[in-house]
Amino acid sequence: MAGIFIIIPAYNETEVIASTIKPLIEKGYEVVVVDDGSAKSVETYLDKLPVHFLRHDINLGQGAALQTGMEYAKQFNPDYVVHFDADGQHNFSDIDHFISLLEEKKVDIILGSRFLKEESIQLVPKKRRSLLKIARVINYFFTGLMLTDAHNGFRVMKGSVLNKIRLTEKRMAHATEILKLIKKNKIKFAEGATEIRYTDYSLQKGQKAVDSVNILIDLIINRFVR
Amino acid sequence: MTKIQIALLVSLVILLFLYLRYFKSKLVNRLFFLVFFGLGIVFVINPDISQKVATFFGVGRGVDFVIYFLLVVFLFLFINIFYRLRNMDKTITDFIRSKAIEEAKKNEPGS
Repeated sequence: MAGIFIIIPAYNETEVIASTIKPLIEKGYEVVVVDDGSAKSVETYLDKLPVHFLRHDINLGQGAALQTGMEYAKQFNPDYVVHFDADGQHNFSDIDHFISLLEEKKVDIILGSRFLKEESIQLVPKKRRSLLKIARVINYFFTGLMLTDAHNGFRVMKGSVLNKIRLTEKRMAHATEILKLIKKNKIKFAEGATEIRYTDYSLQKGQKAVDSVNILIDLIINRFVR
Repeated sequence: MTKIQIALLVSLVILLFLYLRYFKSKLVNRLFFLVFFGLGIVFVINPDISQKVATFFGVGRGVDFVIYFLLVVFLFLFINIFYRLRNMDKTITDFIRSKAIEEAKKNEPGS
């Protein structure tokens, strides 16, 4: 089994995370859980599953947690690295599919997109669909890349990409920062169809529409202050 | 003395006192602020001085000059603080991260 490292940032996750991780372990992936300063350490909910467990003493943000996970994984020289959500929104069977897409399309990173297949588009709540359409345009403005899905946490990349991306955005603007880095470092990319399964749990935990304003502000500030 | 002069003087003195007590940093820093507060006190006691400086700079009133000057000072201070906070933020992040990586645990399967 090639070294496939799944990075899962987790913040105040409870029982759901174990059910997210189990199938990943069964497939033989290396799972790296980064607890981003949760009030109650996520470790207690891991059911002693054989994962690599890291913990931020204070909450830094999802971008920071991903970066910590990636830096940790780098030590193992992984063949592939995956960004995966803790709340069960992502589909673990897409991992193998994206890995073959990497070879097929001869690229270094596959970015998940909800908008490539009609069935997955239908799964996205209507309000979020319009917000994401706007996000797509803003994304293009900031990154120069026109993607169908501007904000998808599911990504599969070759291990070599770890040397080319370093996330400095700690909170949610990291999604756009990754795209900027892809463009800047000329990393070959493609989008892959995936679906996000929204459950009551994940919708309640997930980002609110208001957060998009915060992301935009972060992006604007960093445009001027880099 | 007008009431505004008294009020400003009192606040300046209090600020000066607080600053000297709590910012035990480099001597240069303290001298700089002593001068700043000193100038502030001078301008308040004797607005004519600020008037003279103002006319030299081609500004209408002494008070106007002080306001413009302060605007620049505050802007500078703000930018300064902003950058210092960012650096501090980065330092904290790096620290939390290296600690997290160093203390990483791996459960063995079947444990």
